[in-house]
Amino acid sequence: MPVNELFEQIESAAFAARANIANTFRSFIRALAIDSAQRGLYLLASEAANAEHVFSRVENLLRHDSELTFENPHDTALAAYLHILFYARSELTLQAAKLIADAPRLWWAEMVARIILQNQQMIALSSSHVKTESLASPAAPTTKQLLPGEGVSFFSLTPNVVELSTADWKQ
Amino acid sequence: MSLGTGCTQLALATKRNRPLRNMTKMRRAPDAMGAARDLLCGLHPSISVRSLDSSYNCMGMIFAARRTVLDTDVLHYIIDDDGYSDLASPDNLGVGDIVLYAADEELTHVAMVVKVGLAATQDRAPDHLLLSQWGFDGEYFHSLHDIPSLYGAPVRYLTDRLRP
Repeated sequence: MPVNELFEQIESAAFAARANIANTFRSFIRALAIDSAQRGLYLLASEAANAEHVFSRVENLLRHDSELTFENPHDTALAAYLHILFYARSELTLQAAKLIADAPRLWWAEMVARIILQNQQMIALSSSHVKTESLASPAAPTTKQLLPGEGVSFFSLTPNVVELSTADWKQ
Repeated sequence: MSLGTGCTQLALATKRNRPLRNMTKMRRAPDAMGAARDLLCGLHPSISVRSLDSSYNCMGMIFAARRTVLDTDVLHYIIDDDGYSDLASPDNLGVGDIVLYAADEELTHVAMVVKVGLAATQDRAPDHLLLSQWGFDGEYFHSLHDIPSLYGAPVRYLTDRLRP
């Protein structure tokens, strides 16, 4: 499917409805991971040009005006794009996360952004002292990149993110 | 973690005064909620809408009077501190009892029984009517098994009814 069609699907009301079925952040990530449009972009975004295209969609959506009394209508799409950049190990991930973390009226997107930023801080902190395997950046993509849920668990590919997200909710 | 403009944590605790982490949430726009309703009612023709509010999740609906969002991670505190006990089967459910759902061994959803129906038979699940908030897509009346696939299946049946 062409990239632009995937963008249209991810920015659609139907995509937001499917993802917002989730009651928890973990379920939300699972909902993203099983969505066909999202899975299409996971693969395409491993190419730098496509990742730049995803990043430009983030910038574009953040520029849209929307009614201040409601949540940003692009919350789900922004979360999805940021997760795609993260999963593709794009160099634009942190930049996108910072933009989203500073934007108002977001829910899922802000969660993804803050978790990425917190994760990055932990990596920076750990590397300034002792390098550990568990806090190292995810491995570079292989030739045949696995999709979340394909072959291995998605969570096993991003253990730091999931641990951080869970810890944030725990007492 | 602080989330979203205007998102705050409410003072909320179990009956033994153990604090429950939570976060209030802004509502999604009415057109988004309408799209969610249309999609879900198309996928699950037997459900009906109670409300299209997206400021709470399933946990918030049942344990926080529809005021906030709680993660399912705090469920074990609530079960322990608020005196819930397990029922042997869905046939034992009564009005006000709750059903926990899980997928891949992770709790995904909680729903409340609002009407007790016919008991299960060999080829039919018990005919109870449940009410639950489906993520941030609204609150729906539904049967025990007619739920989004993301939620998995019912795994526990709990009651807080006190009986002599």
